[in-house]
Amino acid sequence: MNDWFELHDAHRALRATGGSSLSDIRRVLRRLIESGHAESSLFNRFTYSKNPHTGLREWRIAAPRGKDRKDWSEPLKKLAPNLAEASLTVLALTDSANERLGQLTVMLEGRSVTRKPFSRSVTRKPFIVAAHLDDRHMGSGACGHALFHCHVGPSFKAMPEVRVPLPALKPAAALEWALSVVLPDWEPVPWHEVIAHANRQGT
Amino acid sequence: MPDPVASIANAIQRDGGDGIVVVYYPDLGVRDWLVSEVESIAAVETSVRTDSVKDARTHMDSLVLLLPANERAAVEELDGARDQFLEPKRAYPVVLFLLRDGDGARALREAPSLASWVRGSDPDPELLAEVDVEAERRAFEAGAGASPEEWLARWRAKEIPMDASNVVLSYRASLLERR
Amino acid sequence: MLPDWSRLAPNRPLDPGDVAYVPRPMDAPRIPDWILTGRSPLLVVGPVGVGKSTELAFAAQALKDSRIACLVPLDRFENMRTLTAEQALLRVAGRLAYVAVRALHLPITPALLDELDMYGVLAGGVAPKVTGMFPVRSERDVGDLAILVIREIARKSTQGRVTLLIDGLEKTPPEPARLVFDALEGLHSEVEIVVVVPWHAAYGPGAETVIVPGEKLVVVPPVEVEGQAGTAGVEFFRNVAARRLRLDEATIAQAPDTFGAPGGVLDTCARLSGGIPRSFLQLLADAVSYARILDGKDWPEPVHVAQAVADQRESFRRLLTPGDDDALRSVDGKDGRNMALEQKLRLLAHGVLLERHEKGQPVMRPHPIVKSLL
Repeated sequence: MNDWFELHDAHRALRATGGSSLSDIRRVLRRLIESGHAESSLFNRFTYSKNPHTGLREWRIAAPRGKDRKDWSEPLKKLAPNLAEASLTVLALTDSANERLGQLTVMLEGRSVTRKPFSRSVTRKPFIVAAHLDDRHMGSGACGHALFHCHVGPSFKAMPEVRVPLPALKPAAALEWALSVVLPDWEPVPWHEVIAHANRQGT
Repeated sequence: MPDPVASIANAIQRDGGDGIVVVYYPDLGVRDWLVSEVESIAAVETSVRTDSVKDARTHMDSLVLLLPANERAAVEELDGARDQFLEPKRAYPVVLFLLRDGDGARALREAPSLASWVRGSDPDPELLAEVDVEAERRAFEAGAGASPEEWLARWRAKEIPMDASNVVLSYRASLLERR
Repeated sequence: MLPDWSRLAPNRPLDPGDVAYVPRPMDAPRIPDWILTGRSPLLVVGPVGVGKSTELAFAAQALKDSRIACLVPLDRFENMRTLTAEQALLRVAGRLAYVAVRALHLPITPALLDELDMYGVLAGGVAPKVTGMFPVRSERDVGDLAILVIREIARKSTQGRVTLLIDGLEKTPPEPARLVFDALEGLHSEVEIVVVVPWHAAYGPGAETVIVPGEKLVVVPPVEVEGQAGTAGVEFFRNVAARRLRLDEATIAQAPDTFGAPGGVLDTCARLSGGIPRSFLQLLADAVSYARILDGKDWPEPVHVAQAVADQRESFRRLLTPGDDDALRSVDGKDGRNMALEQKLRLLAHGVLLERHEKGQPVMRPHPIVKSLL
């Protein structure tokens, strides 16, 4: 039971201060652009709106002007083999001081492609990779519906409905994880760096 | 559609990157956050925070975040010494933070030279970010068929199917929700 | 090949001889014309960003064959808000000596250079290598020091006369400005002087103490960009953009139709600039920046100009004080005589209000972007 309490505490800590590290998302977006996975204007389209009465801020990726595109969904390029398309959504709600992270969603929707051997026919199947920090307790508890969890599958509702608890990753790290699922060369912490880090720590 | 982030990015980049930029803030807490936001948007290697115009001039290769306690004095000094920032050419701009409707903002009305330089690169990001709540609520109701509160109640009760577009809608409803 | 948009540099005046200079479309005599016909001193006035510094640089270039034409950008060295008469004279002397030694290779008396160096007004490398050989007369009157430099240079140069083009004084408040003008008065018999003056010095209370009989006031007006009369003005701005960006035919061919076509990006920026070159360059640079930031595009489109205009509108809005709206509405199209002087000077200085000439008469017009706020 201790693990679930600890996880819940870590999620609450993430909620309390996670807003202040939201701008680190731009560091990841920049790397996405530099490695050719997204168009250059993405960096400055991660933006926010504010409710002047409540002070609440909504963060999102705005669409480029004049593009016929869903306002929240940024198409990515140079995907992993057998992925035909993937679009990135980043959403967050923060308080007036941008300290408290009320909600966070990092989501990738797309389609995979499967070719039948010795045949020209291809099958396209939808997929979704999403990390959610919910704004309140959902489901029956911290194991089945942890505050910060992820979905990976053909849709949110595909059975069995799996919500994998996530550690209390900050927003930028959650984004890095989601991207690592669909981008073949995306590894923010290669093993050799992990080993070097461990050696520095003497562990 | 005004955009706070695009306005900051534009102000930083417009004059070939070596201009003077003014960013307005509503209170000190938000100023500190805006300072880090400007650093994040500028995405430069080095940035320097200072309260002195003279010191600002010496940091040629850094983004300078100028945070004077006496904003009027800083505006007047920048107005009088504006052209000294031209040579040698700076790598990044000097960003002066001024309290919205404060003494520095009033001083800028009496400082035509500086005001002329920063025209169009003096955003008030917090003001630009503000949504017209009533108009947005009407638009939400027209699109979703329910008020933000009604829609959120159904969403939280899992009566609305979870898909990408509804996840997005839930954020907009939360932004517009009356508290 | 795409344009190097950073060349727009709205805040950088051109240097003398810069090939990006485009002559303004005007019938009136220019600064060099007045000087060549013996009119000195010339006092130059105009709204911020209208191109006063660039006109001075052009004049320096145009006059250089017939005299030592020395551009003195005081604002590059001093805080113009706190400038003293002594600092102004020392900067004039220091700049002149620098130009004489560096550009004209004139042998200036080392003692004189020593003295200027002592005041810290000689740019690097000009001071004599061996110091201390001549007594430094620190007690010398700085006006005398300036005159010594002027006379020595006039005597040793082939041109035989000196013209000072002094920039930056438009930023100086009334009282220190008056003292500086008094000090410069002492040089009138030695040199031809062209000096940029503030609005208050030209039109404010006590203007007669600055502009005395015999002095010529040259107004650098906004370029006419409205209506049929503005056709030449719009063409001027198109040329300004082309020269600054060094656009060649191949580059222009890459531009979208909406960039250079009549009524396109360039024309819209020109017309909404109110005829102020800095406004034009800011609008265009803003639009370019938005095109890149928001849409990843290399060329600005009308939608980006609209965003640039919205930014400038907010800047202007912040400059207005209570009562300005009504005053601007009522002065629109009139000569401005009935407007409160202090308010008029403030709005003219900011370029919120522009003085134009329509059918030969001076007419006040709010800046076109300001007009959309009224």
